[in-house]
Amino acid sequence: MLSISLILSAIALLALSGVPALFASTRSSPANRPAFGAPGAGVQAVLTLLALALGVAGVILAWTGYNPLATWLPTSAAGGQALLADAEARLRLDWFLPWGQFHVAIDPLSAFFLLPAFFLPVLGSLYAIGDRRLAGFSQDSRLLPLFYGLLAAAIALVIIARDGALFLIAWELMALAGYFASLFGRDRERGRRAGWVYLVATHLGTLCLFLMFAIYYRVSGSFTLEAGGPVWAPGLATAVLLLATVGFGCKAGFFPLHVWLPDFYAEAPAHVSALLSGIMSKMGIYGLLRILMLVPVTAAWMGYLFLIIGATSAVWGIAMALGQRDLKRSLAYSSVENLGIIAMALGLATLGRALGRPDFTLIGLSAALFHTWNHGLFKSLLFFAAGAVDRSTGTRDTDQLGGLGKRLPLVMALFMVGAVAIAGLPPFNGFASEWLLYNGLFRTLGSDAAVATHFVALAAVALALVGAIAVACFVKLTAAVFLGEARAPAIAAAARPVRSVSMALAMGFAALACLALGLFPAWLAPVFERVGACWTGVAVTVPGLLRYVPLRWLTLAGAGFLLALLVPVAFIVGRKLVRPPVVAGTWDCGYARPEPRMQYTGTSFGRSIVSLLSFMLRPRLKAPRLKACFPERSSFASTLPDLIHDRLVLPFFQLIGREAPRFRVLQQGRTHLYVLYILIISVVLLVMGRIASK
Amino acid sequence: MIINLIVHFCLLILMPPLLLGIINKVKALFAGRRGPPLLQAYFDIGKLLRKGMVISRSTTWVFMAGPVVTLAAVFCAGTLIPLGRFAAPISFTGDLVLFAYLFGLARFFTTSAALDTGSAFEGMGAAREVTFAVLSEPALFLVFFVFVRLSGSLSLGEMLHLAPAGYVSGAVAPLVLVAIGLFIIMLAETCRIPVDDPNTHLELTMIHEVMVLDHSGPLLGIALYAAAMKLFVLSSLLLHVLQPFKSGLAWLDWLIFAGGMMVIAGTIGVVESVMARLRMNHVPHLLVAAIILCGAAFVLLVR
Repeated sequence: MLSISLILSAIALLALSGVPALFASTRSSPANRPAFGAPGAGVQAVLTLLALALGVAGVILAWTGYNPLATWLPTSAAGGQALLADAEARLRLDWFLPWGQFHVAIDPLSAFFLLPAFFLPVLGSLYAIGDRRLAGFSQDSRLLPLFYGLLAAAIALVIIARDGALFLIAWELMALAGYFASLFGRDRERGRRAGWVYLVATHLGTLCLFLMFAIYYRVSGSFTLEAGGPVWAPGLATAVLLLATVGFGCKAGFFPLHVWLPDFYAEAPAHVSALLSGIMSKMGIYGLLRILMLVPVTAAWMGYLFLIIGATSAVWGIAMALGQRDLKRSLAYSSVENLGIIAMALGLATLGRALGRPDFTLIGLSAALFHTWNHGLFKSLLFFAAGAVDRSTGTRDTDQLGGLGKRLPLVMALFMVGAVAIAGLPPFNGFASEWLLYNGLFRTLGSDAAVATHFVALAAVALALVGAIAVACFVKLTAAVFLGEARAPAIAAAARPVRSVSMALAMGFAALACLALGLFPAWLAPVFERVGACWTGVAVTVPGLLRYVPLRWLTLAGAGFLLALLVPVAFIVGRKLVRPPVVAGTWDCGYARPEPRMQYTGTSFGRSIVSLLSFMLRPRLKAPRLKACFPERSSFASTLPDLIHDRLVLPFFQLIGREAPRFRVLQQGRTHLYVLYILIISVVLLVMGRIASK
Repeated sequence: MIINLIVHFCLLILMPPLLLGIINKVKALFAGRRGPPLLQAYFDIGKLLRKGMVISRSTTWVFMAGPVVTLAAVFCAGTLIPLGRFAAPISFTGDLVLFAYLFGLARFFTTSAALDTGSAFEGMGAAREVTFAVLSEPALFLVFFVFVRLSGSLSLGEMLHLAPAGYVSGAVAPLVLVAIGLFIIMLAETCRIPVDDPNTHLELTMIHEVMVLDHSGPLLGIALYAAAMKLFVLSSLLLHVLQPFKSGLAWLDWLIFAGGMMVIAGTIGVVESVMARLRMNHVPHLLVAAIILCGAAFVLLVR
């Protein structure tokens, strides 16, 4: 009871954290308000930090089951007795709506997702202080903190909701707050367009969820989302799971439901993108986990389905990310990749449940959960750094940037931490979670003759392919933005330095967390086991996660690598001190005047991999064709349009746009006719109900 | 036990440049030259380490991090792999993934350092490096599949010691396929002919050599040393499949191991002498062949 009160007050704080910004004065110029530049951004950072403190306290109380009130209050008092009796982290209240009730609770699964949901908004609002100051002031930027706070609160509410109706309300609140928060990007026009696509997509997804909850209600007789419901007919269970896959998969951005995502994440303000990609997209994963917990899975095909969806999303996402010119679009596509990796892990866990292999279940679920946290951290870090670049130079086009490392050394160093982590390389956290997944996938090769799961291991080949492309993609982003020389010197010359303590703090915390989780993953093993027990409903037996996968060795390996690094670093630093290096121009094979334009751009760097994968990506080339002896001026352009968006989604909606106007006869803007429709339908429904009940 | 560990580290640290020497000697013999002394690579690296550095004004610290991180990563990979029949210094379940990803880390920093110079050539080399890795990485994991399947273990040490027993128990075909695939992967990863020509610094067609074009003095020395160590580590992986026999005597086994490594280096020398480098756009075909070979081996095992 105490824990749930703490969590609810934390959520209320989050929701209200943007309100003070509404009353902040916008008249003062940036020059005379250096400390808390943006209106209300500083207040929001403080309030979200407070919410984090309350939330973490609540989560810890719920997790340990410890009730301080029981020790503080004398148990003889009647009130103390009542409190003791209600020690469970749960709150049920009836409300005004005809169905459902206000029912929230915290179990280990919720607790696990709550932590990043409280932590990431703190980083985001910290970052926003500096970001908003760089952006300058405008009237409506006062609204951004409001929607940002609402978004964070709605996400936390989704996680603790235990009632279908409340869940859908929170879900819709989250979708709308996300939409409004995304509108305050740099390019308002493009932001609106991207937001429109998102609104359509998210509502199509929510439609599936409505259907899913309708079936759920029909079978279980209530909207309560608690395990141990009635026996499910296989057909209905399948329908619920498929609808959940589409509905939640749309939010997570699984291929091919990702079409709304690249533009939406790219056009939103950086800290909103970080929250959207870092935790809102994970609500799709949370929802799937919750439904898989409630609806018993007995068929292995569900696991195979998730593995295939995950592998496809991962390969498609990272290949598309490599081909993008826009820095933030590239990061957005890499979200598709990472959510795909989580889906693969989820597939392994589901398969383990279906086949009765607790090791697959535990390892797969741990990998999915771990990668959820990790992706939230490094993707936030990368979006923050991308936002800093955007603010500094005014462009996100990687083919124009370059050489920013000398102007923004700290941003570059932190971006590289994020890049190495997201590429899944040791000793950072991305490696730890991918390593878990590899371990699980390799175990399917075992000689368990009863079920042939060898081909599940092929997912590891897909993961290796994804890993190799991810290295290429993030080398490309690092190099195209920060390394070498500026490709468009005018932009580089105009680049402003980013001297913001709050931005550096936000990125620094995320980077530290990436390193800490990469070096000490074994600390999380009991957490994964607890969530695993909650998810499967079976307590984890003696050979726990650490017996299956020796996570502790990663600590030794990471520390060993850092130690091994010391020797050559010390040697080079020593040599530099003894004999200072001669500084000269880059040796360009005898060219007299190397120019920045001669450098490899990000696009040319990624081109060979994109053309290797052109059978599925279909890059569009506009190459000059030689016609006469003396060719005229010509131009070359290569773009990588999203095939699903261009060939599937766009034609579909164009068709609807062409055909739907026929129904305008019904909707012509006369209110009394609409009232008539309502009356007619009510009468028809009443008559039908009467007939059916006879 | 301790002695074996010491020998492991000594070989890992000292032997790699010798392999380069052997390769160059074999190539010289084929060409009818006397060739540089066997220990030339040691002299080169020693001399480079003592020299000063020339650094481009376009670069940042990433340029220096390239060779440094590569050496540390390859060295760590070298501590994970068992040499001959002896146990690796570090061995745990799932270390094979760490082994593969350490090379990924090295690749991240080598290519970043190359791109840091802003040179078009080095960008080209970096782009090729990451492209070929896209094909060789899945192939390497298919190789691991075969080993895991044959040995039932997820640690490199047990896997590499138990899997060659497949020669006795009838899994000869998969092992032979894997050996060929692994040889191709090794040639690609260490940038030897037919994938890359380590001798042509001035052509547009290279991968590794062009990426270190701007590194000089100690940085170049470390880069060359790290490349040699990578060759050593991957050759010792290949040697497990080619030479599964053991004598039981520690000193004899170490001798057998060192001899096997030299034979592999000699084979690379022969390959480099009798083959031309493939055209760049044909290299993916070779790597896809490696994927197909290893995939076929896997299918043969689990059918």
